[in-house]
Amino acid sequence: MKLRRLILKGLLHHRRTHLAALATAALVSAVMIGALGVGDSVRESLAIVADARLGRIRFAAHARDCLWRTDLAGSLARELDTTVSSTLLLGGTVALPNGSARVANAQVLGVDDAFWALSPGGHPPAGSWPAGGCAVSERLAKRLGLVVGTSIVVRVEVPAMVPRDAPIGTGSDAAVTLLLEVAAVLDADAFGTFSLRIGQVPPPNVILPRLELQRAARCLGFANTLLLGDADEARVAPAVADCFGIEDTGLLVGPVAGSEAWQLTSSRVFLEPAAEQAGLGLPGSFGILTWLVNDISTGTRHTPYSMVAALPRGHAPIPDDLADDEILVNTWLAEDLAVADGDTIALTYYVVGDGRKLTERTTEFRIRGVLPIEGAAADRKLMPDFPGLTGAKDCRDWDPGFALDLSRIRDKDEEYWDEHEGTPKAFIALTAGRKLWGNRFGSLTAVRLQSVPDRDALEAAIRARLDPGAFGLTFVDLAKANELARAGGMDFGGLFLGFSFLLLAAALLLMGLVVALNMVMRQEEIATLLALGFDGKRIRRLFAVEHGIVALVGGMVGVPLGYGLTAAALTALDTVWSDLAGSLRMSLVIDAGTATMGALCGASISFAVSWLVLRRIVSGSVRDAFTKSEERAARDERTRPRRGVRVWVGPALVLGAMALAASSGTGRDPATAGAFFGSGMLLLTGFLFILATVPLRTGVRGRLSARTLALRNLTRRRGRSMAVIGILAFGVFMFLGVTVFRRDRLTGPGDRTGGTGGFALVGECTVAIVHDLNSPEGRKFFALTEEDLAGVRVVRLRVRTGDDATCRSLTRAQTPELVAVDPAELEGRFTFVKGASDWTVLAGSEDDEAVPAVIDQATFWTLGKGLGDEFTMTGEEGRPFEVRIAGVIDNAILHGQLIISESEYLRRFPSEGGYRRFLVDAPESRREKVAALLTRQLTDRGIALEKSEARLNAFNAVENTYLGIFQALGGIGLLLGSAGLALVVSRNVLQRRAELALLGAVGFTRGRIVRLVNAENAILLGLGLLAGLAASAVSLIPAILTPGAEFATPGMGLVLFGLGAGGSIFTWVATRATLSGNLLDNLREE
Amino acid sequence: MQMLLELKNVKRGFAGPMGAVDVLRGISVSVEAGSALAILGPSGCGKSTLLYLMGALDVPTSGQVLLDGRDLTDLTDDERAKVRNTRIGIVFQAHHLLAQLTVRENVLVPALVTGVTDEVEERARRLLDRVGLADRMGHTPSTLSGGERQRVAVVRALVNSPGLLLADEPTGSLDRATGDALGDLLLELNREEGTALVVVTHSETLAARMDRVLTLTDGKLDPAKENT
Repeated sequence: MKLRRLILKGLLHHRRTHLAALATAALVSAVMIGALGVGDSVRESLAIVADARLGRIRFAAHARDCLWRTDLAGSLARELDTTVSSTLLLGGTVALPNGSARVANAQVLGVDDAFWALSPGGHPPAGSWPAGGCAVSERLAKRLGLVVGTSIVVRVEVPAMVPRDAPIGTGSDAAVTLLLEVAAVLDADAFGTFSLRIGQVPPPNVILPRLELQRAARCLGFANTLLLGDADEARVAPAVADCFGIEDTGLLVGPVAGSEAWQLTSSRVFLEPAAEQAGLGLPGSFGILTWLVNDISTGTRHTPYSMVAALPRGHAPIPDDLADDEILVNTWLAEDLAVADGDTIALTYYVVGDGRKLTERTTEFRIRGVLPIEGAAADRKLMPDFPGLTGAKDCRDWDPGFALDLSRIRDKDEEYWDEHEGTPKAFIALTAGRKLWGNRFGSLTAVRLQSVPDRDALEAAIRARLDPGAFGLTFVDLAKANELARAGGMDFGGLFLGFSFLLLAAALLLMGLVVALNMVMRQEEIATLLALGFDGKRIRRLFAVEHGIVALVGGMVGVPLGYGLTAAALTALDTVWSDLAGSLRMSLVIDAGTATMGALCGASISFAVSWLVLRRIVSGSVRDAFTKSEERAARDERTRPRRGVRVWVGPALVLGAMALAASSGTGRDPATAGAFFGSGMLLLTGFLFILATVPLRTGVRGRLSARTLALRNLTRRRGRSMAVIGILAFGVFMFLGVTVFRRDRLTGPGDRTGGTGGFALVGECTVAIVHDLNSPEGRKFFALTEEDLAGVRVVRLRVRTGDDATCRSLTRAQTPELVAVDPAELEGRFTFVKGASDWTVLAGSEDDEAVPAVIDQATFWTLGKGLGDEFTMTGEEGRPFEVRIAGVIDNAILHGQLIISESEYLRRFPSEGGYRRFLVDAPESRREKVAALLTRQLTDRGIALEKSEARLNAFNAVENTYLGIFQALGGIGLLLGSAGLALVVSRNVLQRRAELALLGAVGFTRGRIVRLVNAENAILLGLGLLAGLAASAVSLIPAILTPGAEFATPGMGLVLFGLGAGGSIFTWVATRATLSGNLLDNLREE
Repeated sequence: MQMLLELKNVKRGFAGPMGAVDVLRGISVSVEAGSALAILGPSGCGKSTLLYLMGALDVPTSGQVLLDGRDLTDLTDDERAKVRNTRIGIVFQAHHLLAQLTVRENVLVPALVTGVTDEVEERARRLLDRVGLADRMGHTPSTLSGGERQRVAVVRALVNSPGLLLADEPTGSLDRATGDALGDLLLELNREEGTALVVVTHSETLAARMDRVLTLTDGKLDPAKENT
């Protein structure tokens, strides 16, 4: 006989309780492995998504409105010895030809063979590719019900050669329509989920041959995206610098007819600052600014629509000493206005304001001289290529994109146009011209270059001075960005572990109770071992080994169970909890490391709990082994702590809870919710203190009854009774009370300080809108009348697309979406909860280079940043700038975006054209009508409008789902905890068997005894439930007072019912089972 | 005298690892109303088993246990419980007082089955006064001496005016003087209440004070002494 045998025998003999302990250890380990398994699986699923999203692409450069030669791809491929695709990536909307279904925010891709070579599968989709055919992603096919052969209508936003906001674009060709036939439906292997944006939700994709898309988008030979395969990072930038050509910048170099000079111009009319600097850096160069002046007048004489050129002094025809208020006019103009040297004329012209806004201004000039139309004064090349003007046969055909009164054009004006085209009629100094007409797009329309040997030398010289990044050609290491995003992304393992808090607590409670029961059943064994000379330490060690083996085996058994839980959670994430993971298809990952760690952690925690319990009970048993019960009772009486001041703690806490609740108001903001949750917690703690200290010696003076006997039994082991009540009550409170943090329809559309900001509708356009829908002109442009939009105001937002930073994203956005707004438009809207107190913070300060931004609270949490933290973004010219979080608003429809002021935005993205997001303020009564009207009139722009509270609730659904998971797992934990009651009952009954046998001896029937014990248990169960419910009710006051807010669900009722019913059944069964056999044998002393 | 309890060829065996063990091998004994019987025997001879059969706490393997002419073996568990409550009082060696109740309440526990009435309250008070515990009624068992606890247990056994009082080693855990006093009390109450008394003991001194003494040996009863 060895100790090992004693342990083995103990394990076998007490196998029933050991099996129960093993089951709870398995549950603990299963919950941990289940949670960690979810983390592994989500990580792996994201990796799969990222691999499918990017295929073999390592680096990418994309710019919405910059176009680079498609040939650049070939040069880079040779230079870097890798696959390079030149892809045209445009935004668009896809619709069925009958208009019955439409998907906005689609990606329309014109691709080459290299694109397919970079796909995960490495080859183009199978099957023929007829002209006019396209491939669509599975997601898009599913949403529109597309199959091979289906026709679709694709509205594509074409790249803007001239910034859309520039008032010199025609604005009418922002998008083109393609009628395509679906030739293939692409799965992930064939780049069906291709996207350059970090996020697990792939955009709907339409892919067609590049040439077809280029032809439709009028950019043959050019594309806006370069995709590189694997390459040495250090070689990428030098290779780009080598291969980059002047054609990749939108700049044009050409000789000036009739002179030795050359000229650098831009297809965007104004030269970008980088191009201006490059051109002016060359020897013998000077800048030119030519502008269309609406009116030149003196007295009653007017000359409409004339070009006026500004040149540096000393460059013909500008003399060295021409003052800023002096002007040279040509003979035609002098004759038309009947003016001569020294006369004053007024120039009326447009200046470019915010957005597409043009303001007419007038400046007077004194005529310094009259020039004949010859030489430098007859230079037609001074006028840049104005879209809508250049090449027009007649002046009356002009369509510059802004309002012209063509009726003012006279025959003599037509004759001038026929004879001299855009030859300027007047000349001023460049310094004066820049002051008048310089704007965010630039302040020169050309750089004139002299002493140029030949075109190649000039282009090489200019190119050497240009940074490709200034023209959008900056390659991003997507693989690295992806890694960062995944590393900082949502840790679902930790999250689910947190959610399983109640479940784990319940399992550990069960473990403790099972061990306690086992030890109570073995009191005699302990006494015997003591009598035989074992000391307490040795006995504890003996039992510890037994329970250690049980915990270890339980931990191992938990492995398959854990992965079962993982599979169930993944299924739930795919279905009922799909708000969290979007369309991410989950893959179950079984990792040996996770399984081992989870099993060992589960076993260790279970063993730790077992050790704590058995140590306490064995120590108590050793102390009491040879002590009579009455002596124990006497000792307990002596050692019972005096109530003293503790009596007042409970009432004080209850009063505190009431005061806190009363002072918290009835709002539904997080602070109020937190205050009510706190008051609920205080109330519950106070109640439990009162229950623990109040004298309950019922029946001392009154008549003894079965009821008072039950109460007396409860108060006898008050600590144990309080533990049961407390655990139940806190479990119920945690389960129900957190409902106060649910975000339901908290505010209506009219509440300006709520999450909707008081806006009725939120809209997004695929094709940017440059016209102001608040202005009569803008409304007219979209055939909307003042009556249509009476009482409607549209707040326009510029959007710089970025990574998904909404709470739906499982990865951490590296460059979140940047949204610009005029802060004045949001004044008094939304509620600031951190940092700044209003929208004026967006104005920033002059001595701070960082751009202040406001984000909403959920985004703040998702991004994992703090107040004052900064993001590094890249401006239009490739220059980095910092965006600093300066304020946080409560969860809002402006979710997942960094909101900055429009003026700051335009400083960084001066060419960014138009507005893509809209917040619509409309009377509630006309909301539906306004939505329908805007949808109809802006269909071509791919507008998608939704009710603001629907948008808000869609975001809030994520937080609600998190709470829902906590409550679902907590509910299971509670039900499990109710099973624990059975163990408490069993232990109690076991310890009271002699006492209960005495009742039998004096004539109580078995049924009566069972009822008595059950009555005691019912009181504990009822008090626990009631205390938890009462505390929850207090914490739910804000929700209860909010009409329409959801604060109770059938599921919650079911759990509570299950808790009550399950608890009653479990305790009844436990009582019956423990009292089975001959109870009266317990009276025997022999 | 009127026959109160009669055991006829009662056998009681228990299953053991080596097969069934017969503890009682055919016991026949009768107890008349108001009489006092002592059963002597060494430890482990089955005295308590016999007492449990007499007290309707157990049923024999075979044979009959007749109380007031009714065979207790024919009764259901609930019927036996009722018999225990109304016709039998039992005093255990370990008094089995409920620690959470006061002396008065402990005494009244048997009355809970049918409900505590004023009459029962009065009887409990009287009996406690009779055993010298009138001033200890509000005390809990932990504050009482061993003798006092046993006296409370005796009063509890008598509170429902049973016809039969069974005592299982009532003085076993008491010192001699206290044990003698308790013996006196049991006999006085036997006479005063007219309750038949059966005492299982290994104390020959106590046994000697009973009307009749039987010895349990090898599972059978032998008449040891008849005290008249």
